[in-house]
Amino acid sequence: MSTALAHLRAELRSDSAALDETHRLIAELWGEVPLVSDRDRVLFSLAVAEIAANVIEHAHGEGWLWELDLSAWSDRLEASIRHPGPTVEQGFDTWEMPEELADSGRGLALANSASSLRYFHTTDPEGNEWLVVRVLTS
Amino acid sequence: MTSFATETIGTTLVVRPLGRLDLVSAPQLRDIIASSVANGIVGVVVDLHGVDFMDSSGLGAMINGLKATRQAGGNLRIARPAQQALVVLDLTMMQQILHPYASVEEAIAAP
Repeated sequence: MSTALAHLRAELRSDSAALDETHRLIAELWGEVPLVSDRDRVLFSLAVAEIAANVIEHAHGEGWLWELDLSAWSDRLEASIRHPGPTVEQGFDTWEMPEELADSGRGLALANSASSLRYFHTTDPEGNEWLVVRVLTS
Repeated sequence: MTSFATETIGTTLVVRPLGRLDLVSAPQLRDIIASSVANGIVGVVVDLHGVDFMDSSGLGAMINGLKATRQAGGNLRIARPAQQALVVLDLTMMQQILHPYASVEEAIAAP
């Protein structure tokens, strides 16, 4: 049975300072759950930061307010990222890497490779949710 | 806040980012490399030793630089990536294209 170990939440603006805050909140999470392995930390941090950057990039300076919710469980790490804005217009089950010399377009595929990634679009004011789940390896 | 130190060694520009190489700082790296190519220095080494976090935007800036230097007859190489950057290279299957050298000297001397 899975046990909740830690839960952190922040409401952020869609500006570059939000990336600093995202990394700060992730670091705070590691302080709460020191036994998470380095590899799980690297992969979860990467996935969460990629989605945060994606939200900031696609806000196009419109000053969205978005929510970052991090939780640690005995068997997994989870991040919920909720933001306003239009639906992401692509398949929501697979994210593929672009051709090898493309200099953009890897973010979602990279996040999905680092942890599992799910995308939900809702009609409530918060609009969209990304769910990142990293099942712990140790 | 990420900072960038640059040094010209022979005919190669060595760029040393310090901090995160991400959505915020990647444009600076692109600009530094583009400026170098415009000034005729088309050999670039990005020393990743001081990068504690790299994301797809940071990787994209280096691929952009790789293409810009190659089009001008040069090349871009990377050196001393930390474990986190190696994970990004591995997950994106970019280690063949951006081979990580163990030292700046080795990257400069590579054929």
